Amino acid sequence: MAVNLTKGQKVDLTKGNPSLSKIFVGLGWDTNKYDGGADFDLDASAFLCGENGRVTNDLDFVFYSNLKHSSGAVEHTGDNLTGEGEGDDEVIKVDLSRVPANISKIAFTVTIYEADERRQNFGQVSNAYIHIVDQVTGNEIIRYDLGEDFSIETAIVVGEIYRNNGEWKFNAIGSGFQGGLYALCKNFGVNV
Amino acid sequence: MKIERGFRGKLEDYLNISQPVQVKISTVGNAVYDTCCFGVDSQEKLSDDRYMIFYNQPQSPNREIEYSQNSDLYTMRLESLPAKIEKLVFTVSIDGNGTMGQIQSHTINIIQNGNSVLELSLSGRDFDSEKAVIGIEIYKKGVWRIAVVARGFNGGLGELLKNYGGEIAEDSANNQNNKQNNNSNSSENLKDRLMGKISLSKDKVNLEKHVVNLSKCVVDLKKKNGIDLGNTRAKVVVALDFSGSMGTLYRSGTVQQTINKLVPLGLTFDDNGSIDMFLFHDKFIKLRDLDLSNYENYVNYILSSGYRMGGTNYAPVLCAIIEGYDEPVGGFFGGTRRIAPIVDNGDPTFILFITDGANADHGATNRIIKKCSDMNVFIQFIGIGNYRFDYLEKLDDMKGRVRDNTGFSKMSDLASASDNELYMNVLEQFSNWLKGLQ
Repeated sequence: MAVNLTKGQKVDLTKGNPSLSKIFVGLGWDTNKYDGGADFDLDASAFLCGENGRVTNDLDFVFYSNLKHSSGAVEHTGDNLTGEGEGDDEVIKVDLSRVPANISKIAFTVTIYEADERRQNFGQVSNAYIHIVDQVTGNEIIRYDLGEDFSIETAIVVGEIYRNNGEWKFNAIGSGFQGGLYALCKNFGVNV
Repeated sequence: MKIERGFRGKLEDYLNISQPVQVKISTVGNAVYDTCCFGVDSQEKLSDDRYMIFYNQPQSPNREIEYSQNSDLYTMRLESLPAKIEKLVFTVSIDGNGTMGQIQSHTINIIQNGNSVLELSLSGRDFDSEKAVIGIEIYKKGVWRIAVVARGFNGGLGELLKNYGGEIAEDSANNQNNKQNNNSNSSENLKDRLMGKISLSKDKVNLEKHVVNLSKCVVDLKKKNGIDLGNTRAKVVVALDFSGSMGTLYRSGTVQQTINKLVPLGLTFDDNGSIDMFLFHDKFIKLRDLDLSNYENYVNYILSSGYRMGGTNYAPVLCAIIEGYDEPVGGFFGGTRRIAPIVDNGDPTFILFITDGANADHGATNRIIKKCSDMNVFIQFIGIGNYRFDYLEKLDDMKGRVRDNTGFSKMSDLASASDNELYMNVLEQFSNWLKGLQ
C-alpha cells in the first residue's frame, strides 16, 4: 500500500526499507480535454543539488536534452510530447546507492514547454501526481496527488528526495512558479 | 481582479459563498450568442437536465440558479445546490453563422453585491473557428472553486449538450415556420418532445422541459411500478374551482403553479396537445383551450375575464363535460346551440378536477358520477389549499357504480412535489381504471 502524501509532508524512503535503492519517479497529468489551442508538452526534470540547494554544475540538471547524469544515478527515460495515454507521462529512474556524496537532494519538477507562446499554465492541467515505485518489486511506495492548488503557474517543484542522517526521505513540495523552466533553472543555479 | 485562462482559485478567497454569487457573460460580435450553465455531476454529466439553465429553462428546480436573459446574468445560491451537482460550467455558443475567432470580446464577471470581484476578458484572438467557448467552471472540490477554462469548443449548444450527456429534441424546419400554427401542429411537436430530449428551440416555452421530465417519469415508473400510460391517448379536460374560497389561491399564484405542474402531465398523453378548460362555481364557464402557447398566463387570463366567483357545485361542470350543454348564441334572436359532450366512444376522457373542497351538491354529484361509471371517462379530483375534503375523501366508498371511475389526491404542497410524486398521485388510479377497461 502506497502512502498518499499531502503538500508539505515528509516521509522516510530508505529508513525501514534498507534494501531500497533503484526507484522509478513517475510523473503524470491530464491536459486539454477541450478543443482549440495547442497541445500541451509538459516536461519532467531533475535538479541534483548540493547542501546549498543549488546545482554544482550545469550537468547536474537532468532534462530532455541531458537525459542521463554523469554518475549514472539519475536517468530520464524520455520525453512524452503530448501527455496522452494512461499511467505515467514521464519517468525518471534513480539509483539511490549511486548518487554522488556531494548531492544532498534531488528535486523533481514539471514545466510547460513554450508555456507563454502557447498561453498555457498549470491551471489547465489536472490530476497531476508524482509517485515513487520500487524498481525491483514494482510496488508503489509513495504517491502525492497535486490537487487543485495550481493556477497560472508554468513550473512546479513537485517533490524532492533528500539525505537525512544517512537515509533518504521524500518531501512533497508542490510549489508553483511562474516563468517556466527558465525560472526554475535560475532558482537551482543552472546557467541558462 | 483580472483573471486569465488557466486561473484557479477558491471562491471563498474572493467572495462570501453563503451569499448569492452572480456570473455575467457578455459577448460582443456580429452573431447571436447564447449562454448556458450546465450543472453537472462528478462524472461531468448532466444527469439531471433540470440543471441545464438557459433561455428555455431560466431557473433550476429550487431556484438555486436563476438566469436573466435580458442581462445574461446568472444568480446562484451555491450552498443550496443538491450535492450531486458538483460543477457549473458556463458556456457561450453561436446560434447561426460566425466563429468565436470573429468575436470582438468575451467578458465574464463574477459579481457579488453589485461588485465585479473577478473579471475574465477574452477576444477573438483567443479562439479560432470554434462555435462555442467553455468559459469558466465553478466546481466543488472540498470547497467551491473557480477554474478559467476559456477554451473553444467545436460545435454549438447542441454539441455541448451532447458532450455533457444530454439529448436534443430535433426541431424540423417545418416547426420553425409554424409558430402561429402551433395548434394544428402541436400533436406532431409533442411526439418529438416526448422522446426525453431537451429542446433548444427558442420559440418554445420551458413547459416542454416539464413535458420531457414527465415523459421520463413515465418511462421510469413504467419500469418500477408497471404503470403503463406509454401509448395511452386521452382527451384531457381540466375543471378549475372558481368558488370564493379559492380567491387567495388564484391571487397567490397557487392555481397558476398547479396549472404549470399539471398541464405538462396532461400533455404527455393528451390527444391533440390542447386541453379543454372549465371553471366551476355554482354553474360552470367554458374557457378557451390551454396549450403550450398560453398556459403561462392562464390565471391572468381568467382573472382579467371578469368572471365572478361563486359557490361550489361539482355536478354542473361534470354534466357539461359528460353530457354536453347548451351555449348561448349571440345576435338578435338569441337562443342557444347544443355543444356535444366531450366524452365519447373514441379516446377516453380524463378530467383533472381541481378544487379546494366543500361542494354543496353531494347528491347531484353522486348521481352524475354513478351515471358515467360505465362510460369512457375518469375523474381525478385534486385537492389544493387547506380546505375540507370530507366529501372527496369518502368517494372511494361510493356504491352503485359499474367501475370505480374517480380518484382523489390531496396535494396541499403541489408546487414542490416532484414529478414522480405528482405522477403517482394523479395517474395511479387513472391507470388502474384504464386496466379495468381492457
